[in-house]
Amino acid sequence: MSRKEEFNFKIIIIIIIVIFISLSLRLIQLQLLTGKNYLTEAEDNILRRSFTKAARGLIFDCKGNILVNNKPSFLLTITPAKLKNKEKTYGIIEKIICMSNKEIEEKILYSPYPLFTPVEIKHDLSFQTVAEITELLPDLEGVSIETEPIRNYPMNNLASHVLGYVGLITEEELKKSGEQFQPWEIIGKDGIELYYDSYLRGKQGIKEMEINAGGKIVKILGETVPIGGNNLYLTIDTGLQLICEQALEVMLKKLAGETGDTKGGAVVALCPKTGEVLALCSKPDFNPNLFSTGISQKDYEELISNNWKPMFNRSLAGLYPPASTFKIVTGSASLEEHLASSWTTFNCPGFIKVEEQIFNCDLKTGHGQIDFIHAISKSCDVVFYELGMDLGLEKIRYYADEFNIGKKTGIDLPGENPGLLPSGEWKKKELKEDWYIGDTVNLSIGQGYLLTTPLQMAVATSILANDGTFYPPHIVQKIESETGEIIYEYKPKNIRSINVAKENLEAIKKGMAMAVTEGTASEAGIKDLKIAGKTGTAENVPTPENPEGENHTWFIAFAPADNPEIVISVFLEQAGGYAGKTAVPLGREILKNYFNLKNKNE
Amino acid sequence: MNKFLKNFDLTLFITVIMAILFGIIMIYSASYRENGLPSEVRRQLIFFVMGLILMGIMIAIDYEFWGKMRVHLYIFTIILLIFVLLKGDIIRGAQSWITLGPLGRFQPSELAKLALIITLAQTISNNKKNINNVKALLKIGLHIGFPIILILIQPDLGTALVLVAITFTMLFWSGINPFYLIGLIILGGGITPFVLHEYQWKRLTIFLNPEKDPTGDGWNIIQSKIAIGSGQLSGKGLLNGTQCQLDFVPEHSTDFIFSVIGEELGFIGCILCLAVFFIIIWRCLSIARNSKDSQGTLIALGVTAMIIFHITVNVGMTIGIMPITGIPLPFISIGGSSLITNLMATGLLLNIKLRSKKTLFS
Repeated sequence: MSRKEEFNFKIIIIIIIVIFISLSLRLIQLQLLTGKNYLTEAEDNILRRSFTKAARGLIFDCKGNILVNNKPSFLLTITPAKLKNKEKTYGIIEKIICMSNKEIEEKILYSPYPLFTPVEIKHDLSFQTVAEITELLPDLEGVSIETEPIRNYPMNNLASHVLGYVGLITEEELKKSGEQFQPWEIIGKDGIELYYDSYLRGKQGIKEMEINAGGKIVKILGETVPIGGNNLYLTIDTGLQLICEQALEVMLKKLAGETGDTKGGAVVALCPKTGEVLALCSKPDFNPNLFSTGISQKDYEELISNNWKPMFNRSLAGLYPPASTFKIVTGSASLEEHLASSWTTFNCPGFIKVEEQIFNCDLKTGHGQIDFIHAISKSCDVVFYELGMDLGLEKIRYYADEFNIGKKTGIDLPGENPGLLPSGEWKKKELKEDWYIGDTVNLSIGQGYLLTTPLQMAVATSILANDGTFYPPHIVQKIESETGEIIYEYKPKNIRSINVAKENLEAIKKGMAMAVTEGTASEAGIKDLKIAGKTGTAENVPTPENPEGENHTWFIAFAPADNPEIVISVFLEQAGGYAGKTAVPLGREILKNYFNLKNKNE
Repeated sequence: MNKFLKNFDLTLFITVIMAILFGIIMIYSASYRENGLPSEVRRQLIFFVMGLILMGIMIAIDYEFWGKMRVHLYIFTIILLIFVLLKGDIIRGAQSWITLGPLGRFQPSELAKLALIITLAQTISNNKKNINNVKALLKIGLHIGFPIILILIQPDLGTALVLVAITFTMLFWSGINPFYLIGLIILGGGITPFVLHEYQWKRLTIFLNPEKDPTGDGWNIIQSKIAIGSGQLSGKGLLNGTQCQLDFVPEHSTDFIFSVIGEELGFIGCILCLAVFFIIIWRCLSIARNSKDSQGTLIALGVTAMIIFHITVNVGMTIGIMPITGIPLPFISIGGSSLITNLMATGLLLNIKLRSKKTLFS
């Protein structure tokens, strides 16, 4: 070869060497550096996992009536890899299922599945829709109709705050749970559905298969059968729950008048001997069925825009001053501390003056000479101002704590608020002020900084009613597996007796009985039924949420007074007026219907 | 006899046989789960035997004879290429096949490659002195351009590009001004997007970002990368290639056979395969270097260019750095025409080496 040819030859050699090196480097990159990822992708390709959803456990009331179950429903799925003509297919189905092209595409894009698994496009299809789609199925490659169980609340709004609702797990919830959940699982979001989610959720069945590129199953590698969720038996009495909710609704409508705002309220009913929660309601409420397949934008907006917060469970999360209902604590404390006895007489001029500040009695003209029992019956503030001052903050706090005020009751529902039992340190820390004697005065009649939930007041009343034993309130009595095996049965625990003598509690009870026969709760009187109760009217300063500064009203009661079967705590938010005309008649309605129902059934 | 053996490039011969046998093993593994298993392997073996016979003929006939017959060769090639355009079978979108009754189908463009290497080598060799002369370049351009166009009409872009690569290599070595070549490449590259159909252009460029169409044009590349990548160091083992055997990599016996190698034999298998090819190329270059005349060198360089282009584009395609062009892997991919052509080319090279010392058949 000539010199030039030699040179060119060498260049050719170099180019060839570069080619081989490049190919080798790329192989190093693919197989050695990122090979593991590709292995995972390879397995993803050929391993198909199909899940059979497990049925979520059922929820029953105390008599075995169904409160929550599952109903079969139809859903539309699309398997992206099987779609032959995307545009045409979308065009056909979008009119029938009322979803735009873009919405369908989005669902597929956000699906965490690989391309060969069906993506859920629309749930809860009507029979009409199913019929229409089924007719067209031969032209709709990749589209399929499947059945799934969806959560069903046959009683709609009834006990919605107790039961809660379910929904698709969100990204944050996924992250928080660790690796427990799959991205498409339905979990409880509130109430019993949330609190007992791990019991209610079953275990999905998994089928592992090896498939080829055509999606054809080549081999089944393994299969597990789905395990249904456990069934819950609640302490809730549906009959009573209905009574409470209806009575509360009627009263709220009445208070709203012709054009006014229907405000909010709560009712809690306990069995004093066991702590069973017989009824628990909060109004306004919501329909959990709306959430079962994902709440629509419209429904969500409606719930959010209601100022009275239908999703908010007032009974255990709402914080309000208990007002005169707190006198059962102040009263018990005074008796126990020997600052008074049931026949001690006081003088009520209608007000007291403490350090230049005037505190009025609820009867501005004064009750005059009044004994301890009548002071409870008539709810004389002056008597309790004096008792409170004699007790002092620390003693009041001690006995309030005994009655489980200022801390959680431990009920098996999410979202319970412990309330606020103020102290000197608390005030210093939060309000940068010292505790004034005036604060104690307010505290003695359940106003000032003290905040409780309707549930706490029910529990306090319950402690009183059963002569001083705290039974933690509970809603779930029994849990059974899908085969009937008992997984859990409520056993009483954390029971304690309070440090107040039985006689002292009896005295308070006597005062409460008198309140119903002749005192502030006289509207509660029912023939042939001895009821004991205490009213409470909380005065409020005007705030943005309460621009008129309307009173809250309370009524706590138990019946029959000498051998209580039921304790109720009734609360009306910003009801205005006095408890005697609002919360008390509501309580009466509830107790009347409850005992009628009971007598009918016996 | 000793002289014969001395100039017989045993290395080339053995490595080519090894490559073919390796290919048959991989084809067996690739089609293991399919029903057509025995037939694919059987056909490749038959073509192997046929190819060996033809290779023997090529070894025996002096390559200068082909040079002298170049006009006949050229006319025969053009006739074949025109015939295939008129009466050929269309398979996979290209009218590239002629059916010979019971003998099966063959692709004239494969044979055309070898024939044109010979005729082009002679043409260039005759014009070596004034290779940069416009008249000479025009002669060469028309000579190879005409069959290239006939092949492009089929359409067979891959084979056309192989011919371009062969031509460029031969011209480059002969001393053409390299800027002419660069200019042609830029010109060709510039025209291509306008000359091709939308879908052809898309299929050509999808390798740059296959994720853009994962279930359509990008599928092959994505799946091939997954298959090869998942083989990691030593592969999943023979017969255990799930991606290829479960059809995730289509054409796994033909164009994507390297994916099977990558998946089942891993990095080690791939490098060994490339090493075998490297040895073959090395021997081709050695034969080119030591040829007794420039025509021999040009033929050897042409064959080298053909083989290396096939390897680069085919392997490159399976690992995602080259566009998809339907070019088979020499000696390994299933394909009778390709196997026979490559074996005949090997025979031609062996002959060139045998003739490289004038003392042999005086």
